[in-house]
Amino acid sequence: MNRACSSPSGAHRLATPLGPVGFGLGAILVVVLALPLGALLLSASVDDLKAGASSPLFAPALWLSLRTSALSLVLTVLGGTPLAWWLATSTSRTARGVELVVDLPIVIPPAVIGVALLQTFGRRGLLGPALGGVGVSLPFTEGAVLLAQIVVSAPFFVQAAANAFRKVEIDLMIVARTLGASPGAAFFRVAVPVALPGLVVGASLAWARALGEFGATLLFAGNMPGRTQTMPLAIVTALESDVRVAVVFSLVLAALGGVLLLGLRLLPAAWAAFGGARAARDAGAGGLR
Amino acid sequence: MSWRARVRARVGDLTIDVDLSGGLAPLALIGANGSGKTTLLRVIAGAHAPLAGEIAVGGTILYSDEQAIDCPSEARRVGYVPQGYGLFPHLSVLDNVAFGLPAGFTRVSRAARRERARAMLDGLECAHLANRRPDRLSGGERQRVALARALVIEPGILLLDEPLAALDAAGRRSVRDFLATRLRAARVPSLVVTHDARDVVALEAEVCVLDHGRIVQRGDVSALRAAPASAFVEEFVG
Repeated sequence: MNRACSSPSGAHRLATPLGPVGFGLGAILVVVLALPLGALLLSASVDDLKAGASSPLFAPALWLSLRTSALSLVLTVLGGTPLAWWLATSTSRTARGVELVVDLPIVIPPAVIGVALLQTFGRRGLLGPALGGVGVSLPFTEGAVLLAQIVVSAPFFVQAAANAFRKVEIDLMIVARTLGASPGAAFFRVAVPVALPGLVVGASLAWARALGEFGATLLFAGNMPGRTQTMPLAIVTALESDVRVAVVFSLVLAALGGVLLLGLRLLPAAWAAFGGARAARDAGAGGLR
Repeated sequence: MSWRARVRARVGDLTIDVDLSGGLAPLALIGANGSGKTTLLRVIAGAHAPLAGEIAVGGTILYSDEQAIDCPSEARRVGYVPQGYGLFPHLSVLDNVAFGLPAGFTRVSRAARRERARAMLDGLECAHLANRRPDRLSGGERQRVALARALVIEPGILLLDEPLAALDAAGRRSVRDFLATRLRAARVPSLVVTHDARDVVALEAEVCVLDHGRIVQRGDVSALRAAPASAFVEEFVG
């Protein structure tokens, strides 16, 4: 065996096609991404944490953020799931047009969306007078917080869900139907479970985006403590008086995001383990005969 | 046990216009890519709506434009095994087979449902696979599970789309013989898409040649060999 032809066993030959320069650039990016978070983590002491948590801004903002982002996620999934299925299965031009419209908020700056929401629901907006006629005023309310979150976050869910549904083979649905499943049953018993990993990723991205929503909320809902001040807005307000409190708020939001990411990474394995446990249980039941 | 599909259908750019019928003996459907083999199976399964015609299986009319009958897929009792077998990846083999059985709402009915699925797997010599996931099965095992899943609903007809295409040459012969034996034993009419004359011989099937959505020739292999209707048929039996 020629030594020059041997390679370390198990090493992927295509792992570093760009050589040390590519590796170095990648490493720098990792540092740029990780360093600020590390600094944030190091800058807070236990006393700071106590001070931050006892800030009058903290509890209302956190509760408002969790409440509105959870509700916006529920509404997004409720409307986004059937929409995504239609986008994934329809070949019509209308579907492609709708898909473009749904994707738009991803590329439009949140501040622009805030202005657009004001132009729609504001007192002099498109629907403002009509809504005012029935006594509804949306801007600068919790409803406005919710709406801003849905507009900026729903596209992430719809896009991920549509991509997940596209990977569900049409034959699986046809088989399910021939096996006695109604269209709805085939959807819930086959399409949703098969697409579930993608749906969960989409929902997590949407939730994270809603939780971090800032620009559209500030313009459309304002920054009123206890009413429309979500965590990201509370950070700005806290920063004006006490940096330490802002740091604590930031840490809490970062921790929520971190937990979410970890859950996303662990979920597929947990899902497989759950499925395995179920199979084992069925095996046990079968063994009793 | 007989069936007939006299249908005209349009799916995408393809127009299908056929009048096919058969009994218990398998009917093999051959034809070039895009000739409409899979589409025809899907029309019979109820996945595509025909424009006109009549589909009847075992005396039950599943579709008839004249009588305004269009039975939905779930009520047709058609066993459809798509190319690649279409096993549900999120379900165990047992749950795949039990999918078509009525859901059990009590502990007893759930156990009975599992028992029936298990017996069907047992009959196809794959009871030991019950708790595996489809991605842990070989091609031959997948085919057996898909066959079990289609047969458990006691279908009036079996539609098999290239049931042997996903297998490597080595395993193919034994799986082919197994399939032929099982189809005879199941006493269910079948319509089998294939591109291999050896499948036709093993299944003792009559052959139907589809070209651009139309039937251009029908007969057993020797008849096709004696007077091939096209270069495609000549190559198929050659």
